[in-house]
Amino acid sequence: MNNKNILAGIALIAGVAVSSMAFAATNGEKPVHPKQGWPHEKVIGAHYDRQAAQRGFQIYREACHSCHSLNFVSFRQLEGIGFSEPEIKAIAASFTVMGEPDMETGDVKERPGQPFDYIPSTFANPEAAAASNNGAIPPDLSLMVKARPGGASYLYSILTGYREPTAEELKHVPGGKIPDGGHFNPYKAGHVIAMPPPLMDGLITYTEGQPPATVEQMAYDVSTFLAWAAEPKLEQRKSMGFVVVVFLLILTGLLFWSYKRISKQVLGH
Amino acid sequence: MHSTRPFEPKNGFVKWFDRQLPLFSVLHGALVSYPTPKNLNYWWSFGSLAALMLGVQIITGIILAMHYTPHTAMAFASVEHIMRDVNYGWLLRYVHANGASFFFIVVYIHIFRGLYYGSYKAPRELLWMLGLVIYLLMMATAFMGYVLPWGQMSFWGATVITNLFSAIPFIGTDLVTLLWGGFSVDNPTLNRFFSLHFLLPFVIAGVAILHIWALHIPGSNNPLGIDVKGPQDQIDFHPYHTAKDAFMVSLLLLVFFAMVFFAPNTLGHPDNYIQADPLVTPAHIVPEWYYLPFYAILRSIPDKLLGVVAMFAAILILFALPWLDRCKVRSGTFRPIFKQFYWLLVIDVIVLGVVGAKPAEGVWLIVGRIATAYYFFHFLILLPILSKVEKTRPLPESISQAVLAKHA
Ligand code: HEC
Ligand code: HEM
Repeated sequence: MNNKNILAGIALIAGVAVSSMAFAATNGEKPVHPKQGWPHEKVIGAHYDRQAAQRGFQIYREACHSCHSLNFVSFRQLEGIGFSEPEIKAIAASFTVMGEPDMETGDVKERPGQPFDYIPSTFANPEAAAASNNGAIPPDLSLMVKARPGGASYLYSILTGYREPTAEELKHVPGGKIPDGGHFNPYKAGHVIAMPPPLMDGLITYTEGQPPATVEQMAYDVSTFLAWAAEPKLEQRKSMGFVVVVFLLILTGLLFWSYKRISKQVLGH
Repeated sequence: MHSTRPFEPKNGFVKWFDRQLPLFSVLHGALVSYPTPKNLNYWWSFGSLAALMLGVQIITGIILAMHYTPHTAMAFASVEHIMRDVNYGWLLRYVHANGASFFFIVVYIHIFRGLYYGSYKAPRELLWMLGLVIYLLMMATAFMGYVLPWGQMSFWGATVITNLFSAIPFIGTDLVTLLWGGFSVDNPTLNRFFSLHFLLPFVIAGVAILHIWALHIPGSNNPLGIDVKGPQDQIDFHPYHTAKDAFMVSLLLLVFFAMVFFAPNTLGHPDNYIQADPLVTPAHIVPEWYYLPFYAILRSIPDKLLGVVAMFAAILILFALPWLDRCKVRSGTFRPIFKQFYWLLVIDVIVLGVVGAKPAEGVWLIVGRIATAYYFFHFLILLPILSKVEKTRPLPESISQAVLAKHA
């Protein structure tokens, strides 16, 4: 069989495999996200926008934490978005966590957080969370960016996408009307989301010198923060990947050359 | 230039050892002096690449197992612990997850190489069947591995696939209870899957050794599909193939690591970053890409039991291939009609893969049924008929002659 044929075949197999997975992931409907191209999605020089991520943490804390946990993030890890040690100590101490059993009495008391603690959740259990949210459980946000096709762009779209539906759009909502406690959001699967719009212009007061807290700015910031929370090793991964790929490119070239030389010696061609 | 190169160790220890247990002789025979046909092309490197991927999976898997917890309440968190706290844990996990996909890519190429060049024909039937045993073991291993992170797709994929066995008459329900270790996919299921996922790669390694042993008896087939006539047709494995395979290993690693470092989640499903929840069913439950053709066959048949039978038959039929295709000419290069249908089969399997990822309805169901029908038609009807009626092209005199002619 001629090599060109085969290569085309392989390319086809690989292409179809990858694209069919992508299709499976978006199950057919492909929303176009208004915000594309994040600094952390770059191939070379990928990084999290530190300033945005720090503002994003502030938003998470003030506007999302009351409903959503962030179970896989400890205070100590916030170093990853550029908080200093004293800042982390102060942030941790401003949260109250359950302490360890008292050595004498066995009582468990609350205490201020320490850097090694994980960010405590507002609700004791999913039932309590559902009870305060019309029966809908606000999902943990630690891995949200990796758990939805579109990643950070999807989060941005959800947060900025709330609006009144057109009559046409309303027809596609199951039941033809927005149910009680539901909100129209064209980016959510099924177009109805149980979360009330969490952001409003000026909801958060950023510190001096930061951009104005518009919904778009806040959505960008908190999505950046949550992207980091989902994949804190991304910068290390991509910068290491660059070195590995360049190394392998050179090695592959050298090995090809040495193979050709050996072939000449032992086969004569 | 053939393997009259005997093994003559100089080192005293090696001499002493080899006298009592000829391990070094065997390795020398396999990796240095193994005589191969002169005309092997790059597709013959994929056996070595498969061995490499098996090694990668075993090494990364053992280290992952040191940090992983097989318990429904802790499995998901322990994987995140690996991703966040274990030194280079993210790298281990992404290599292992993508390694499974690349292992399948390599093995699929390896199998389709065999299908084109007739490597399954005498005297290599047993070698072919041992390969298929490896392939079945790989499917089982990868399936159970995907359950371990205990995400939504882990749980629901396991539920759907294990439930298939309930279609077996009489013993089905009991068999499923036995698989689960209870009445649903739960902690006992996770525990036994972890145990078996740890075990099976070593079984694969064992069968791979038999596979290579069975290769070394008749020796490798080659792109012309004709027998070796003498030493002038052959070349020692080392240094020619060691150099060639080293290049191919490096090329594979280049593509592999580009994926691991820059797009590690592309082949995965986002839902698997949501912890398993028996009360929430995902909108679409899709298996990993390497099962999709078989999943499509399963769903193209309206009856559950027959669907399961067809799915397994699609693989088992390959065991009978040496007797279904009785054409004496091995290589597709000299079989003008077979060659066309070979590529049709390749396209058919790709189409089945695409259909497997779609919801089983509307046009996809129809396409799936046609593709399934062709798959069975190809092996059960077309190949037996072709081997009787096809007029093959004349074969070259010998390998060395063909090589000389090509490079004249
Ligand atoms: C009043 C409680 C509440 C607040 C405050 C809140 N959320 Fe939610 N959130 C919810 C609920 C409830 C859901 C589940 C929605 C559903 O499944 O329909 C949800 C779902 C989500 C989802 C998942 C959407 C999907 O695709 O399923 C994201 C992302 C999200 N919230 C982000 C945020 C962010 C970021 C903030 C802070 C800016 C925030 N939420 C503040 C209650 C809240
Ligand atoms: C763990 C997985 C496997 C490993 C490590 C492996 C390894 C190898 C190696 C090293 C060779 C010799 C080099 C070559 O010809 O490519 C080989 C040959 C072969 N393998 Fe595999 N293999 C695996 C799986 C399979 C499977 C799944 C099949 C088919 C169902 C298969 C069928 C064959 C055949 C037919 C040959 C002889 C090819 C020829 O000489 O033309 N192998 N294998």
